Amino acid sequence: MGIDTFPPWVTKVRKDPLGFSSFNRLINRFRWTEDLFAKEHLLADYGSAKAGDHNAAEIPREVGSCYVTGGPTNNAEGFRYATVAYPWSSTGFIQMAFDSSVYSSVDQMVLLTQNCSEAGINKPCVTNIEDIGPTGAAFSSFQLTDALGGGNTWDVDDGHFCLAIHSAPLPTGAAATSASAKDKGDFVSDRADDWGAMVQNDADLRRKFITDGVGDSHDSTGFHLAREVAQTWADVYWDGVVYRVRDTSTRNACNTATQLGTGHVQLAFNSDWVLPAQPFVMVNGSSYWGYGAANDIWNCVTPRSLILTAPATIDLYLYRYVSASNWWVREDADFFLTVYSSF
Amino acid sequence: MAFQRLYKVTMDSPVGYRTVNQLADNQADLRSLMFLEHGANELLFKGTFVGGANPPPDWKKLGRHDLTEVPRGVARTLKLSAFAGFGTFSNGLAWTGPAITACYWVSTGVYFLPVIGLSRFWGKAQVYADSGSGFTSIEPQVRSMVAQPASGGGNSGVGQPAGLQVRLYSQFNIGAGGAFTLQDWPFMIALYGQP
Repeated sequence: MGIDTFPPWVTKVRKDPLGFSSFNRLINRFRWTEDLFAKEHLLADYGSAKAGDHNAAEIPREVGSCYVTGGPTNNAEGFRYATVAYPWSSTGFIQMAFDSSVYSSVDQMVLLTQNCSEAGINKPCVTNIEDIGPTGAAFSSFQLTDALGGGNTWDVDDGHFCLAIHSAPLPTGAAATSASAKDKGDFVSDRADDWGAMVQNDADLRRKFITDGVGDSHDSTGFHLAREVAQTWADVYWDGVVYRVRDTSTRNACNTATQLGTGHVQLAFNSDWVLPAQPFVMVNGSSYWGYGAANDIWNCVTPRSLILTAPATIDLYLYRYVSASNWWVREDADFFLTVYSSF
Repeated sequence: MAFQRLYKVTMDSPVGYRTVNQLADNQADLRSLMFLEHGANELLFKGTFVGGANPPPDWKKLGRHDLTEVPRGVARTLKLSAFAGFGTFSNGLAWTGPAITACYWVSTGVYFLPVIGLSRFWGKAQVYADSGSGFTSIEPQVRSMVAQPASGGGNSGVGQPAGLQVRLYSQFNIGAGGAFTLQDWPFMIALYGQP
């Protein structure tokens, strides 16, 4: 069993003294909460990162979208520390530059993509990472060019994709200078390291929790409002007839999963979820109908035009590679997804 | 009691019991806010654990995010090559966050990452080129594998713990249309799940 070590507090009543032990207990309570916060958040600015930023390997440093507009032009949205390095140079190719003050070691990074090409409405599409270098990464997107049921030929595609960038935690920063502990006989004063410090530290830590220097990171009830923490998740399965939501987030829940066609499913979420979205899908096709064959290959595309609609819906297109025939078909499958939002 | 702004004091202003209680309430309120999505429902260890028990997975430490929305761990592998067989520690992890501690090479293009402490789990993986350009590959196929007994199960009766199976495939050649075959690549992965 766990132990709750947060120092308890006995509510003072009239004529209770504020003794030195009570004063020191308030200091310890602050330290305890600050330690909890510092586990996975920055206490101080570091490079371009701000105090209050999430700071853990498993939480993306940032999540954003890359997309191509008429021209053509490469674009990126939702990133703080990554930018498009060069204008459009060739079909399907985009290079992102990383802020070295935040991404100091490219070897200690994990990048994940979710293809959002419009071509995914009709064909499987994929985004690869070509190179991760000292200052950024290069991405290439592709689409199947053969018809479904026709072959496995691919070509480059000016497709859109979502990108999550994980990196090594940055130095957390120094803890706040606490009030000086008191001994028997001490009294409260107006010195900077006394009651004033306790009040200041209390307000500062709350500010770091609520905002990360760029925008809100947690709302007034404690829920995450940050781009780098997914706003919802869903575990969806295909029972052979309909899609069902096995489990979902308690907030921004996935209400329905509706099959609009074979391998085409639309998810509907609570309307208070903020758009636009950055979904990441994990297909678990092997759990359906005993497809236990180790060589199942699946592809899932979430077209950009269909993740920006309100009320909040996301369309997924699922494709399975038929190895015996070396072609692709659209097919239904189980999947798990998380969805991030831009704020 | 909800948060209320407090004031610093001068030499002439007393700090009464209500003010002191309010600071304590502010601290309790902030703790409650943090507990909503940071380690509240999991073991409240603060770097120590009950003697004799195995240490909990790292994400159960105080302050860790304990959301299904947040990956439990991430890892990045080197390009692994053939080893003696399943069960041989590959030592192929180039970098890892919490929760993922090993990556085993099973056979060409097939890897296994043991998972502990999660009753349900999923993985999102990405293959990447270790050098050069023009890299093309279908996305890694990740399957959630339940534990299998040593006899009568998969893997020729060898048995395996619960974890993620990752399969990587050969490059598809632009305009060529060949079949996919299993192939070794370096990859990155995020583990999601619920305790």
